[in-house]
Amino acid sequence: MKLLEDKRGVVRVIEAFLASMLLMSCLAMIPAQPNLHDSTGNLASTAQNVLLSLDSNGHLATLVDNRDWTNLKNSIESALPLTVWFNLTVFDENMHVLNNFPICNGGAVSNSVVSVDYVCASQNSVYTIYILRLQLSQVGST
Amino acid sequence: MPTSSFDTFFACTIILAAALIATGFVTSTMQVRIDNTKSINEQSYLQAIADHIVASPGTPSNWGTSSSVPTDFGIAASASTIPYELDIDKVTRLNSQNDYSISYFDMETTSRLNSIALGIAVSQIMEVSIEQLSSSTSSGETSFILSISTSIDSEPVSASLNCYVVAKSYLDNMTSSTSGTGLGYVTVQIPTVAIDNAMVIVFARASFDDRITSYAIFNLSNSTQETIPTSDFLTLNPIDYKLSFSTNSSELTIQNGYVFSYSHRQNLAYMPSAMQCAIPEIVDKSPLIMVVDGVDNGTYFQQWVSYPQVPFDRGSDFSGSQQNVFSYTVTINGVLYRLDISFGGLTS
Repeated sequence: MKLLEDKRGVVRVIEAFLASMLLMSCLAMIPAQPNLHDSTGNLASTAQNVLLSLDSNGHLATLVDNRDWTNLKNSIESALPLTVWFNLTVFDENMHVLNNFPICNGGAVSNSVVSVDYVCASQNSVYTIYILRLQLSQVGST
Repeated sequence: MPTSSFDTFFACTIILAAALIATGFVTSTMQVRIDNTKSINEQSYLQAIADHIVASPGTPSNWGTSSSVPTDFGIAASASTIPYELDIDKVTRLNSQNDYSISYFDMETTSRLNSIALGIAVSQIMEVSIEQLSSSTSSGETSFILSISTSIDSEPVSASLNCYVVAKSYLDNMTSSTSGTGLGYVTVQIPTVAIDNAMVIVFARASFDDRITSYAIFNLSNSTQETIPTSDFLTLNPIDYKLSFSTNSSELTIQNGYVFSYSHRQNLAYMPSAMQCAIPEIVDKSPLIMVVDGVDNGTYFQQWVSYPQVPFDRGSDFSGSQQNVFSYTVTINGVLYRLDISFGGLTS
């Protein structure tokens, strides 16, 4: 009963408890490191490679000239691995969207999406400028 | 014991426990960060090596056209204006079936990869599969109905087909197409006496891009698709737009040689005394297929080889080990192919 009635050391316990809470709250503020591993860097490189290779003879610009969105989708799809989700948006020089339906292979499969812009020009005498925005995401990445 | 001492001991225990938990938390957090940084560095490092192999022509820049070993490994076409264009001979020399192929050791050392496993695979973008549905014989002629399917990454695609039938003293060609379901049919008729060693060469060109042109070979005598050429009688080595022959038989005589592309067919100008002949530079966005026939000790043979000599998968076997794959879409002689460069994990 005497021990319970003696309150002289309680402050130290409260101090220790507060110190512990302070320490824990500081640690909780360390941001979680996203698991970057390999996807983003590789995907950006893949996107550039695909666009450059497919447009090496002006093929992509010709398809955009003809508003041939189906074959544009087929071209991009053929050059990408099956495990990569893509979404292509075609803009004119004033950044107005030209494709009137989505050029993609389904819904996004991951929150980690890489976007690459590619500028190409049509091969005809008008020399129209197009901006192709290719977004890629790896199936299975976080 | 006074109450204050008991409380102080209790307070110290709490703070010590908190410190220990915090230390463990920091260690695990930092370890994840260190591992991620290491992984990012490793990926960047390997990506840079893969990019160098694809974008650099190597040293000397024409190492593909001779039997020499490069001092710096790179497979890009020299002085090319097309991005990601590979040299047809450098790629062909990576195929181990070619007598002029460079060894895995040379690939490793000239890439400056001291302790990293390397693998290189080149494949056609569009796969072509051929199956025989039926055959029938009538009036000295045999008819075969072949089913041809075209797909990219297992997705069916429509393509136009150009087929060549090559048999003993018999040549023919026919056209067809595959529908949106990726399926098409071809009927082949050849004299029954010429069935031995007869083959059908199928070229398929995707409807949406003429640079996606693939080939497939079907052997009519045993009703199988041949993915790699046999070298039972002689080895065919295309390099530097020359086709050289190597054989161990002194009785072997080459009779005819042909080169096929999607749109063209031409005879090879073969001199009986020479062990090589020129390959015509056909202007066509298509792989080239060379077919040579002849007789060895009274046995008729017919062999083929593609130029560039793809598909192939060369280098380390990564089964059960870490494999970092970097995929590229590349152009070889106007045709699109898929290139996969694989590296093993870095030794720490």
